[in-house]
Amino acid sequence: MTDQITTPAGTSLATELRRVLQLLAKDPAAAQTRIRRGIGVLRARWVFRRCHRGHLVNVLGSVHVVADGTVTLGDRVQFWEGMIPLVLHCAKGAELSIGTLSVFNYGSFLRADRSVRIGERCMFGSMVHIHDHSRERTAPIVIADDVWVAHGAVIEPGVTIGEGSVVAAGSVVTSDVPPFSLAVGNPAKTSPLPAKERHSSKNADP
Amino acid sequence: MVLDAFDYPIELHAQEPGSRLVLGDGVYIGGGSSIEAVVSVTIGARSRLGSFTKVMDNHFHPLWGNRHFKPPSVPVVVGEDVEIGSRAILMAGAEVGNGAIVRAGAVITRRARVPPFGKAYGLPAVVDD
Repeated sequence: MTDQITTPAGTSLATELRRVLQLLAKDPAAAQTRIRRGIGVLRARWVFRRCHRGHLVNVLGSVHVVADGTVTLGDRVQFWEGMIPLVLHCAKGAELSIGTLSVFNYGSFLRADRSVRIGERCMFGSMVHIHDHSRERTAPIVIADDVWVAHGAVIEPGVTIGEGSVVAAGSVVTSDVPPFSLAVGNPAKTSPLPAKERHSSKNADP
Repeated sequence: MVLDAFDYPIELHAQEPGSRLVLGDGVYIGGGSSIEAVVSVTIGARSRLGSFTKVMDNHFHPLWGNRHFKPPSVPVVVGEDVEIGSRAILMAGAEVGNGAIVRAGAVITRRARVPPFGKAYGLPAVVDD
């Protein structure tokens, strides 16, 4: 896992720097984006140094990590920049895994006291709260692939969210959400998404 | 106008050239709030937004199709002397009339229009006249 420093393009740091300098003359905005991403990837190496992380995990904002248990991050997981830091806490003996291409906005709170599993290509809005432990119970949270959790949603212990579902902004999810459904409200009620509304991000650009 | 960013920062984001984010006279915004305007967000004079409120005129992702496609924006208009509680969310197309009260944690969408001097609470929002 800890090999020589490579860059988003998989080249060496020197090659990448030369390339960015060339780009800086031609297209400053593109060069800036590339530098920002490069710094994000290097930052992720430091922030997630005690975690199993995939290729090109990107930390653009500030992330507080406590990895006493097993944290697994897939390829190209992104943590976006914002005004409030994201908290990722995995207690001793617990398991926290995040699938490929999942994206987190700022200010989210993820804490695993037993097990939190997040699938591939999920999107998390800002200030989302996911914790698998409360005073009454500790139960694993499972979030399947292609789930979109919007701003300020809270996911309670023991909840399983099915593939392709959407959790609306501000919702509090207390029970399981079937695949391809929309969960709204406090406590959240689910309704199926029409077949045409199922999103197909598998072919989309990351 | 008071932007109370003592404890948490405030995000005012007019995302594109031509986006309009208008704050009236004497507006108060609590810490941790975020206002994102893609087309237009207007907050009337003397309105108060609690802490961690979110105002956005776009959903940023569609429920169907390519989720990286940004759906069209619907302007958000908040009237004058409006009181918006903490952690309330105003989504695309929200309209809050003059002197209305939006309770803490309420989520106002284009479906729940709040009339002048009305009260809104809960998720999905319930509106009392």
